[in-house]
Amino acid sequence: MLEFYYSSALVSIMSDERPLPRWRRPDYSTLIENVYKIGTPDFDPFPTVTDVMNAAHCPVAAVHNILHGRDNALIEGTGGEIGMGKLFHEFIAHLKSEIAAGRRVRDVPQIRYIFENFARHEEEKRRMHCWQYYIEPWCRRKLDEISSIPTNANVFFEVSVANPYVPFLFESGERTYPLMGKIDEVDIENRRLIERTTMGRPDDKSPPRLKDFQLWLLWKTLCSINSEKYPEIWRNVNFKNFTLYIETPYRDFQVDTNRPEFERLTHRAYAWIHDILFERRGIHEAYDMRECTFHNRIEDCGLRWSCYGKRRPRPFRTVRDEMRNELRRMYVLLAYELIWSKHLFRYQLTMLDKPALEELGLITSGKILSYQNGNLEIELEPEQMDRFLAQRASGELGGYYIVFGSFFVGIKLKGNFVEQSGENKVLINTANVRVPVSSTALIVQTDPEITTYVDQPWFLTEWLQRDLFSLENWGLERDDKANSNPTIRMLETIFGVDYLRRDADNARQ
Amino acid sequence: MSEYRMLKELLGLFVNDVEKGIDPRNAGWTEAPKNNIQKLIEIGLCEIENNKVRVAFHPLPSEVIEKLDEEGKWLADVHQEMVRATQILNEIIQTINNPVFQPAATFLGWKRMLYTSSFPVVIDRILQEGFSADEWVPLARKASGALSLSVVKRWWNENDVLFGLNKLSFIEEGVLVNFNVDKVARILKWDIVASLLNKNVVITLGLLWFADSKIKDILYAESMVYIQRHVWGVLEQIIGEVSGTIRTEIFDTVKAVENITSEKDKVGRIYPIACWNFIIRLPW
Repeated sequence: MLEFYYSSALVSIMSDERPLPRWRRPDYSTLIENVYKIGTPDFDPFPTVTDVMNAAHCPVAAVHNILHGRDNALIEGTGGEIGMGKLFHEFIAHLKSEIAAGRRVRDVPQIRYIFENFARHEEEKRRMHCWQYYIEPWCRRKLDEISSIPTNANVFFEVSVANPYVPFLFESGERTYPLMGKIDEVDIENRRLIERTTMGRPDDKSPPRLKDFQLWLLWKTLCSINSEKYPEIWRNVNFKNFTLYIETPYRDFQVDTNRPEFERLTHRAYAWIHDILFERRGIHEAYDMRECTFHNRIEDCGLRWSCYGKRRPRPFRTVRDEMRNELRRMYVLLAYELIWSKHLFRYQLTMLDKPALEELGLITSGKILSYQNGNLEIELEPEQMDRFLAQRASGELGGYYIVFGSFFVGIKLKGNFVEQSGENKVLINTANVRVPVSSTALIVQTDPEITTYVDQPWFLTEWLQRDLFSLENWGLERDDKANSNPTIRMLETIFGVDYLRRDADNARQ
Repeated sequence: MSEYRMLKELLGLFVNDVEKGIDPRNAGWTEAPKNNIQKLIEIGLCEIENNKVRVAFHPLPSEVIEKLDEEGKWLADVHQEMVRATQILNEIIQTINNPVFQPAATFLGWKRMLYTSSFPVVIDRILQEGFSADEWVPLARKASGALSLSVVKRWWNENDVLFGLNKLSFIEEGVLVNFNVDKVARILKWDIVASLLNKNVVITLGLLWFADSKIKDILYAESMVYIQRHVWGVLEQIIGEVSGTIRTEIFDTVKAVENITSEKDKVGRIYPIACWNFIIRLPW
């Protein structure tokens, strides 16, 4: 049985049996950017499923996620294992897509051949490892199932879902929160949703930590979306009756959708996210209520080092107070900057209508004319073409996300501008197009789940938070080494206890 | 089991108990193990009471810590800091619970809060008063004593503050005499701000920041959480409200300060003159 905690602000509210505070969304002026984006945002963030999982996992993980740009408390694998889950899932998506496109598979060696070809750009060691420990065990138990996938099966991978108002039960009513994420597989044929992971062992009796919660959140989000926002071909599908599965390489776990403890866990996670961002005492409470104690540590937590690591005395003992004051203010400021940019953008995409988004220059819409060799030819509306090119010329655009469906539910493909192929026509290259669920494409300049190729690099802000945190925690044990260490001396100079002179060769005594 | 391994185990039990929320003064007790414990007791590394044993509640000698492994050193570090944290907490509580010292402690807390905020104010206001951007932070920091005094004076007599400062052996230079204070106060609209701060908010922020000044070199979350938890407990008694209510009151006050001091730009958009959340704030 899970235990549930609420931060004290919420405990007091709940003990009075008054409802939880409303999750604040940006008002219309903020959405259309008619306000100065400075200071403390007067709206709460638009979290991803990963953010909520981190906060549900441990409040300290939420602190690291929100303030220190580290969302890896629940990441799959360490060291060479990092990214293995992605390769595992991408290959299975590729394999199933191939079968749905008409390819037949007979046996595991044939799948091995397909995998070797698919993963040829990966290091051999990594490829072997992924095959041996993850894909082969999965194939052996799934061969019959995947062999019987019919041609043109309605199976979709990496389906993005988002809704600013996802309802969760609360006492006799409900509370709504914004939430977004990506479903590994939506299998319309067999009426099921699948979350795939390389975590887990052959003898596991239950799904890996919080994976069931993750899939349940995604399902809740999918079900909360108004059917008008679904792609045309999904309009008559009732996702409430779908079955949820966690697939590890070795076992499948069915997830019950009626989970009151998940409802409570969700309220708790959102309460932590709010308190850590807007109530400074929330951070002390997060440490006070962390999941681990020394004898009951969560061994596979990706952030265990931060709770159970020795502090080096230098520069801690010398300038810690000054560093702490400066750096901690910066963590919060950077977090607010992300809310004003990344999170506001998510609200805009899901709360503004299409003309308003186009007017703000956030999206450009068009129609797909053709798709060949990974190149999509898209026809833009004439009045949008000039804006599109102007933005590109001014260097604002570098990468695009092409959304099939809507921002609420659809498949987002990353693309790069190739050329203007004709009047009001552009060519966008996508490395890998599987099955678009709509013929109408929306071209988004940037995306909430961006990687390094897009032009609003929000991830840099998170990297900055991460670097500051590393700096805050870095140090040396021995004074003699610290006295001649340039970084320590620089820090001690910046924060006020040392004097550095150019060209001086004397180490601090 | 060697005595150092035994010592590490006892340190682990102590830290584990503290993390579970047990007061460090009562943490770490376990049934007395048979092996090697006598030796640890003899050399003063363990203490025994009612057939239970725990790691001694005082800092361990450095030559002992040196012989522990990396994890043992970490445990010893946390243990040592917890011992110190209990002493620091005692001092803090004695000060903030004493009505004679309360005005001075509140003043010192406010001064620290303002000083460490770096006064994030929109640049236009700074320039309007004839300061350059470079001058602003050092000058505003110098004025933090006077600004704090103007807040505390609304609820206590100035002499009470100075008397308490004297008793606490703080020498306050330039609290009252600083020719730039008026300009800094004008930029911040400090008179309006001070008028919005009720006594609960002033005391809470003052005493929490006073406590924060005493834990400058505390490194570990365990000790920080322990001190914070107890200081909040004392504050709840002084103010007579639960912490959730106090926090909400502070949050609402900052919002009110932001709203009232905000200005309009040429096209009618409202903007806050400062990031008040980064000036009037709880310590972390």
